[in-house]
Amino acid sequence: MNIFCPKKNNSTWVFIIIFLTIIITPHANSFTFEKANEFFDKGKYPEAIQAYNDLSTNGLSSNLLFNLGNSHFKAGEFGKAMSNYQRALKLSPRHPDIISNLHFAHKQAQTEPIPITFRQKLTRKLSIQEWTIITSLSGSLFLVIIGIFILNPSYRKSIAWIKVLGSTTSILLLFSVMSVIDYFGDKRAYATQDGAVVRTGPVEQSPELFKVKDGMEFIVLGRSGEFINIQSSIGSAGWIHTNSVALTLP
Amino acid sequence: MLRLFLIIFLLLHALSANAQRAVANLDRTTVAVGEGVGFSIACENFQPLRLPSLPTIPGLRISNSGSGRSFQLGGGQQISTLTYNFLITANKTGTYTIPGVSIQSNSGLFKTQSLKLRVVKADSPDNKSQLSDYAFIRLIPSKDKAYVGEPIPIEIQLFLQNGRFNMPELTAEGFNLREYPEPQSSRAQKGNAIYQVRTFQTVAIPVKAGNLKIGPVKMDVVLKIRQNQRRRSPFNDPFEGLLTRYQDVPAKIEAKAQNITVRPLPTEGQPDNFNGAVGEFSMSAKASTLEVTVGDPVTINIELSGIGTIESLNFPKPEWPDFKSYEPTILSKKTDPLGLSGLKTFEQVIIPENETIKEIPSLKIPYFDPKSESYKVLSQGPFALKVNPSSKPDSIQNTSIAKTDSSDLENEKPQLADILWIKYEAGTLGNATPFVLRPAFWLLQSIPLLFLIGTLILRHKRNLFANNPKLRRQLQVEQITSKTLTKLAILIEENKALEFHIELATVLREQLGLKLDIPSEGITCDSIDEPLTKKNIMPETREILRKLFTSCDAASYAASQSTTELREYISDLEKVISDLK
Repeated sequence: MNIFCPKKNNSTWVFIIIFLTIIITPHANSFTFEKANEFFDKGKYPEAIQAYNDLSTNGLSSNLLFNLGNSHFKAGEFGKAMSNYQRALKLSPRHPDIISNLHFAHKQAQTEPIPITFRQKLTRKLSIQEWTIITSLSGSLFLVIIGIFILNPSYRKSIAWIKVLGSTTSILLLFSVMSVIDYFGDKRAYATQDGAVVRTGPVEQSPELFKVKDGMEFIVLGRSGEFINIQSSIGSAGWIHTNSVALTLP
Repeated sequence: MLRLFLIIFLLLHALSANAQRAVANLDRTTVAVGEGVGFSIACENFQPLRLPSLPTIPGLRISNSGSGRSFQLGGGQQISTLTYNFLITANKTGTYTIPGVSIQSNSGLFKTQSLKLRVVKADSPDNKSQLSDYAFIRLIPSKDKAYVGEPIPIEIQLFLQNGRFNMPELTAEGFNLREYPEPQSSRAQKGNAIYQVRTFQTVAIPVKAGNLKIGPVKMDVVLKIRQNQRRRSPFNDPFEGLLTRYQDVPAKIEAKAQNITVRPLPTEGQPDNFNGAVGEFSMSAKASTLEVTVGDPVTINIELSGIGTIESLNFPKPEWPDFKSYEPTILSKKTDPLGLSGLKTFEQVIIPENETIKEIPSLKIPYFDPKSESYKVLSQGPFALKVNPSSKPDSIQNTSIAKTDSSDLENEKPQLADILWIKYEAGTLGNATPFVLRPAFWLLQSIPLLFLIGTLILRHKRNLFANNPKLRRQLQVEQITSKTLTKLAILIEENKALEFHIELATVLREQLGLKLDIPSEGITCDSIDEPLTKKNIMPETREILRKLFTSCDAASYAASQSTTELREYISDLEKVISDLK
């Protein structure tokens, strides 16, 4: 059978094209990453930002977000830089370079980070994915061992192991829940424009409360249309246009 | 002991040193014509020489409704209060001022504060939607004209004879509404009915100009209605009152929307740095020191107070030449539950950078005053400042300031001159969605759970089997029968009649033992006839059984039969098994 016969084997051709696309795509991504790095090295920061952003549509990594943050920083966009460092930290919370650059960006922007609680410090030792995997493995092992014990009652002499594994799983589950709450509950944003106006209400006509500077960190309280309800580190709350802030969820 | 006396003496001294004052209070600030409103004068920690008397106010009828005494002890304070109650009924609409009342006592003359009472039309359809015997609500905005950003106090009064209620739902398009503080409770008489009145207060701040509507306001209530109210007994039933039953009737009551004309803030004369603050405010400011050395910080404390949108009052970060300034620390405090009045303090740190500075420039904050309908500017300063030259070189100063700034962020880590450079490996580009949001994760996660459920089911089956000997025997007999039938077929092929009959007898005994629930050993044709009859086994089957047993017995003496005969036995055996089942 001739597989190159287009009339009879259309599906084969489609399969080959899809297969080649899959094979080629990673090379295309790595090329773009290298190109983006090249832009950065040559000081073409807007082009680097564009390239990293294009690449991020295929997937994210902490290194990609770190580089994107660096590009924004070099382009003088402190808020966007910090937002990308925070996004990178959600993926790699212990990465020393990201932590260092975030601190440096705050220093350069002359803004204070909003302090995090002890509970957040504890849960952010690991990323949400790490907590989930560890808890999932521990929980699965616990269930399987219980299943084996049910089938073979003679193993019940070593019940202490079940207790240890059960306690460990419970603690890990607690931390995982706290991590999920922190991930989805602790919404933060950074001002991306100097002089952006925070208003008393979510409409343009609302009176002005105060102005922000690029790189100011906020806690996001809610959203209404084109406006985001924010609270600053000193407790002042108001509404700011979405165009003037960058959110921190990856 | 001496210490105990000392403590008691100090406590008594503290208790006796409580403040004396007279306080007037109105149950509600807005009432309808003909409706009574409670007015009280509380005399705290003093005894009046005579009953306080209220002046005659045209349009208001004031009557005395008794007095009461209360005593409160707590927080190191003793408050003895004598309260005189009055009932005020308005004859016509308007805003009345109840003047302060002077009360003479042995310790001096006390005077209450004056209060304002607003009286609206009794049957106005605008402020009342449903005049019911049981419940109705009123929506009363304090004004019908306002400027954009000017706070409008809103009062929602719920009149309820008996029942429960939910929080009011107020529609206010074009307004920002503040949260309701705890509602105030009072009582009111209307006709012959006594109502519990709950007064909800809030503040609406218009965010745009135009003819806006505030309302309607809706409330879900559950009325408690006496069941026998409509069916009074024609006889004089002495137990009627005792046996009264109440029925819960859910209802939705509503008050109509009110028109509010919102005017835009005038553009004429608007100061450049005006940021939308509307109200009446005052400002005070002071500098921590007025003589410093170059590089030393000066803290300016600015205190803003007043009535209005105090949160909109903002002190912009000063951009004065020759001064380095930082973000101010801001503290806000509301001084009334509605947040209409408040206090806002700014702590602004500035650092003079050279000794030529002679003064701290004046501080100016503009706002719009709706009463005078004009813009005003709060101003303080300039403050004379003496700046002494520094003995240290500039570079050292700058370094020390930079280190102070960054101490919180860097936690004493070495200072970086630039960001750390980019990474040249992308890492694994993947889906950043957390696993907990992916269905595949939960599908995978369900495998160990399913395994556990499977083991539980298996365990249950095992237990069931272990605790049921009959079932166990049944399975055992089925296995033996299955194996033996196969074996019998082989024995026929090999024409081994003796072995065939031995196996046949075994199967028959096992089957019969199971059926009759007796041990299979020792079963003979004669011993089973009666039990099989009792079990209603057909005579035909019993006859076949007898034939097979006889054949087995005969085979032990002369086991030579043709394969055809043996095959017949097999079919007989299968029929017997089927019938026994």
